[in-house]
Amino acid sequence: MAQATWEKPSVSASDLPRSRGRLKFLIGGALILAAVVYLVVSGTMAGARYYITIDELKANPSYVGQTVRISGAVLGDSIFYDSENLIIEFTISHIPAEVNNLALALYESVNNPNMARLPVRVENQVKPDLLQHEAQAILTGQLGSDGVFHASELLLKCPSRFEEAGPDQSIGQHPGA
Amino acid sequence: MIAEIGLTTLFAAFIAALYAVAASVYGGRTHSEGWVRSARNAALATFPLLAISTAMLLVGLINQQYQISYVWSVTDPSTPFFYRVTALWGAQQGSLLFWSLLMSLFAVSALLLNWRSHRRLMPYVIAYTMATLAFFLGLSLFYENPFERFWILSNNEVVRTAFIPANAVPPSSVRLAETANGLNPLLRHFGMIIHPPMLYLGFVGFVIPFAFAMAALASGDLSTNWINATRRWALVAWLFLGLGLILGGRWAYDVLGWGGYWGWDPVENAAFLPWLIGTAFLHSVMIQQKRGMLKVWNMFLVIGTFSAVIFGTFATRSGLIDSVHSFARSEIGFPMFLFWAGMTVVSVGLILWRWNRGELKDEHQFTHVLSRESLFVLNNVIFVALFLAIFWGSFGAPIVSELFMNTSITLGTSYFMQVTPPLFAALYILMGVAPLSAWGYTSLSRLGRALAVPCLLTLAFVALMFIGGMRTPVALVGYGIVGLAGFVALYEIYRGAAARRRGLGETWPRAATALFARNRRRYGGYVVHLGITIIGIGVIGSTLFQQETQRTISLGETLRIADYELRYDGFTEAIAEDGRLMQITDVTVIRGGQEIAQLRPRIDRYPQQPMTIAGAHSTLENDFYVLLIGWEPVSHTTATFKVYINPLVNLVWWGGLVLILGTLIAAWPAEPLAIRVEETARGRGRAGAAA
Repeated sequence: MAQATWEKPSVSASDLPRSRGRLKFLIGGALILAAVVYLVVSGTMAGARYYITIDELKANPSYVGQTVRISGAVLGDSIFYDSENLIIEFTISHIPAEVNNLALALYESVNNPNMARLPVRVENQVKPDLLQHEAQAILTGQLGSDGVFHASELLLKCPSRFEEAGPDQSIGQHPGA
Repeated sequence: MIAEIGLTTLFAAFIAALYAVAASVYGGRTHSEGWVRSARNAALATFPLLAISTAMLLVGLINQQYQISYVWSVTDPSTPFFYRVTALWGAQQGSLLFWSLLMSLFAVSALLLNWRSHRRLMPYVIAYTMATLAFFLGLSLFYENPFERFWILSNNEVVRTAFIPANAVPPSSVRLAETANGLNPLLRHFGMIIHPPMLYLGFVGFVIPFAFAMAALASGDLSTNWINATRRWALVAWLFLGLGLILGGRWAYDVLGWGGYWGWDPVENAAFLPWLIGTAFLHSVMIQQKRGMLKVWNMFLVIGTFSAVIFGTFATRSGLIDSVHSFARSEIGFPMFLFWAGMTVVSVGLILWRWNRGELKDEHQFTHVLSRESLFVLNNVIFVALFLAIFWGSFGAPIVSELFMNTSITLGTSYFMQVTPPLFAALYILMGVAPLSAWGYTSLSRLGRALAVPCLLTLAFVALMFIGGMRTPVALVGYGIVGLAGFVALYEIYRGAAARRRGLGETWPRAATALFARNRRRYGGYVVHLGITIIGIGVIGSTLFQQETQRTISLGETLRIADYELRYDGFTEAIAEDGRLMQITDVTVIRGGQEIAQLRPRIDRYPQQPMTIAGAHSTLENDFYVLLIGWEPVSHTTATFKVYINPLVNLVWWGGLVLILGTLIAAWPAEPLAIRVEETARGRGRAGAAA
């Protein structure tokens, strides 16, 4: 098939001295690089959020009023939803930054009354389907002076529901046992 | 029995792939035809073996063999037949096996189609494709085995293992069926059914160009052979990847209920990254074919694409980054990271070695800024910049801050909304200008003449919008930039057809058909540009002008948004086939006093979680998108709705269709595939006879 189809009449190669041509490319390249670096750096400054645990948030008062990202285990009984005014309130409890088994960490966190807890308020959002007991909530927002975390972004994961869970031990008895 | 057959064939495929790697490398090094042919036969055998293995898992899913823990975790007795089949890629183990099957399919097709034409490259193509396949099969066998079964040990402990432990018995099938998990309800959507296979096809498809490139480096055949052999593979992979992205967006739009389709989530970005760098690759190989330039750069791009594919898979499946996609954290993170790093180091090493020997010298130099090749390089630079910026935002910043700053920093959506639009705008401008420039050198006045008509059309387009009431400067500029790219594509198609009509006296339809038939690559490319333009217009409209409101209204009452009204007509409950309770509201959409649509936004109560199903009235102008939020519990006299108006959002999906059409035109082979396969077979027959 005709491969050579992007062809346009081309003028013979070099009628500019090579060094001048190269300089042009270098300047052009440097300008583009500078523009991209500027974009990325300014974007990073504007968009950067510390991703911290509830313990860290509570331990350091300088975080109050600063936009941060936190993660915690949702306590199912605490969920309050005003569907008319679109206000969601619930409490999350601390989970460590590094966990190997998220499902287990969430389970332990909600069942441990000594874990640090934090009330959360989300406004103007429809209650997500995944907002339920033992879900992991990842929130972006600010801790107010009222001690409530005002979240503007709410993301949920429910690892225990699928994949990781196995049947409990009541699934059967060994005939020889 | 099913599990045993599945496991045995999986293992056999793993051994065959390993053997193929060893035999092909040995055969390639010693120029031993027998070893290479033997390696090829082993590689060909992986496909039927994996087909049997996958079929066994499917049989297990369909026949409800809940002792297989994968079946137990993704289906339950109420799962309909259709979702039993799609559950094959509903979770990690099954989707890894399915991925390997597709990988094998691509490798086998490439071997069959290109065997005769690219003999010198073949030993190393086998080695690279089969090494990748063997790695993924190894993950399946040793980390995420889809054929693990539940057993009860003599101490009553329940375990899952691939082989039956001593003195263990299988659990009662009735109990297993009662406790089975069922497919994640979020995955029960047509977009989610075809989105993963499309994405996988795109991902594995890019392995073929990568393998050919590496084969070129390893064998020393550094001509454009590897590019000629893989252009179509790259296009097909690129198409599937694009489709996978669009379908994923469609799924998010329909299922996640936030009225959007792209959230800059790390997992979405992980699939977008190979698409970006793959697009750069598709453009820059043209320069190597035409001008013998950018040889090293193209190698880096193809490695970058493959690397991004593997990194994307790794990031998605390892739990590296917190994301809305609830993939489990998994053991496979570390081996995947090693494989990714190893492949990247080996490939880059090969390039540097050949480069150092002076075998990757370009045949021409860049001389003029205004030339097709310079503009293509600029396009490449911006694609790569976009790639790096998105990579930094999704993975770079969190990882670097964690490693070096002892804290964790993530970048929100605002980062992407600030960084990417200027880069996308630059790409659209280049998409308009570059196709009109000539190889070597274009004078400014010549380029200006070529651009005159598309520019006038664009101005008219923007002026019409202004007259129509559009006053947002960002939108007008955006539409202008995107529109120019589209008008250039349309005008070029028109010019081509007009020239044929004048020169050859053909009718318009005939001239257009002949134009596309003669120049598939060029005009297919323009149609792709047109598709991207349509998507761009949809994205600008739906991003800048989305409107939303929410209110509680009584039966018969209406709520108002823009020039629409929504009336609450009634509430019903129903039980679906699979036993879930559906709570449905009837609403009517009214515009200008006319009832234009009846919608049924609802909530489905699955055992695992409720799911909000939006009602949408779609037109080219916009989507009227309604979510049911809540209602008065007993009497149902009031209900709360959230309503979005998403202008032009359907152009995103329509643009996707145009993009498919264009890619198919560009990739369509000149001679039918059947002939090429036949030729390969004949060649094999002759070779066999000679031996």
